[in-house]
This record gives sequence, C-alpha cells and structure tokens, in this order.
Amino acid sequence: MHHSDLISPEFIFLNVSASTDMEAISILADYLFDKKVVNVSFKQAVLQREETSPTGLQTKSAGIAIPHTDIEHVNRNIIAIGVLKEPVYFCSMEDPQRKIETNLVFMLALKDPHGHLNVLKELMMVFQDEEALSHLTSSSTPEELYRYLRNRS
Amino acid sequence: MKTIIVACGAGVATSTLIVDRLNSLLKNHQIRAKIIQCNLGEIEGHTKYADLIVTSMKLNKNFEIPSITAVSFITGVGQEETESLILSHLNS
Repeated sequence: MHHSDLISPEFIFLNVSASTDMEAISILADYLFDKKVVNVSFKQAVLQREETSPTGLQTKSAGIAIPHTDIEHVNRNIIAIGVLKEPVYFCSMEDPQRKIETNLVFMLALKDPHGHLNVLKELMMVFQDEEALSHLTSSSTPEELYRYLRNRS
Repeated sequence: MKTIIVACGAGVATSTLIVDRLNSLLKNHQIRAKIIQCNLGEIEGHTKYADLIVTSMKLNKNFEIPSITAVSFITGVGQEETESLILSHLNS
C-alpha cells in the first residue's frame, strides 16, 4: 500500500474485546487520543456520527466498518485497524435499519481526505478482495497485517 | 451539462471515494458533468441547479431531483447495477 505512513503497526490492534459497535469505536478512539492523533472531541464526534450516519459495510465476504468524523477533530492522518475477537453489530451505512456483523474496524482519522485518495482507494480494493480480508482477520501480529497491506501494491 | 451532488454523512471519506469512482464512470462514457461534493445537510442548498443526488445511504427525505445510493462503489457488491442506474439518469 502506498503512503503507508497512514497505516502503521502501532495503530493495528488484534483480538480487540468489544461487545458493541460503540465499545469498539471507543477503544480505538481512546488510543488515537492517547497518541495525540486526534483531539479530545474526536471520540464523542465519531460516536455521534455513527449513530446518525452509521458506517457498517457488507462486502462480498465480510462485514466491516469505517467509523470517522469531521476533519476538525483530527491532528494527524492515521487509519487505525481493529480486528475484533468476537464480531459486533454495526448499523449499515446504506440502510441504518440493517445490522451488519462486523469484526474488522477501520477508524479513519483524516484531516485532508483528498490528499489521501490513493490510500482510501487501496483500502477500498482490500474491502472488495475476499482473500485480503481473510488475511487481515487471520494475521497473528500487527506487524504481519501491516506487512501484508504494504506489500499488496 | 448535468450536475451531480455527491453526499455522505461527514462529506469526507465515503463521498471522496464515490466522486472518484463517478469520475471514472463519466470519463469512460465520455459524459461531461459537474460534481458537487458535500455532507447530507448541505444537499438541499444545491438541488435547485442539480440533476441527480448520489449518496452513501438511503435518504430519509425527498428532494425534487432523483437520488441513488452508491455504497456498492465502496463494497464492490452490486456496482454494475449502480453504474447503469446512474448512466440512465444522466442520459435521460
């Protein structure tokens, strides 16, 4: 994956224990705040956004979620990846009434999405690739997952 | 020339991806169109001079111009159907 500075082993979490979508979001958002990637307002803003405009996506092979919010809450461009120990339900972006069983969460902390279109596109290709998604969920270390993404293109 | 509004919740990530995919679609079919990218709340301010709304979610509000959901541009599921739907609106 190009511009791989957006994705780093430091922001990849495996075996995340969360029982709800909101808990999964909180865990990732708290970490991003700890690392000063986002402002103190980010977590609340993402949680709120998830309630009004949910981000669950049903791909061919798996349910994923891409929680994010407005750029003003972000200090640094990072995509945090959380692989959940047990799936949780995110509401569907397309139809908020629908629930999507999700065990892969990509939290997008973006200040200037247009500048990172290539990375977003790469990520989209991962979403559409059954084999890639299964690689992500079966990686045994953050470094392994990171290397896989980096070597994809 | 037609004008297309592309909107998502934050007007950040998803709509950026949809705009990109839409641009390739327009280019491949040699259609010239203007694209306005915004968040959901801003749609209303643009509908007067636009022909089509493309969003990442079902809209719970009716606008005077047609709207199409294009989550398939991100997930890949049902993408061809979405593309033909958009083309049929632009060619009408």
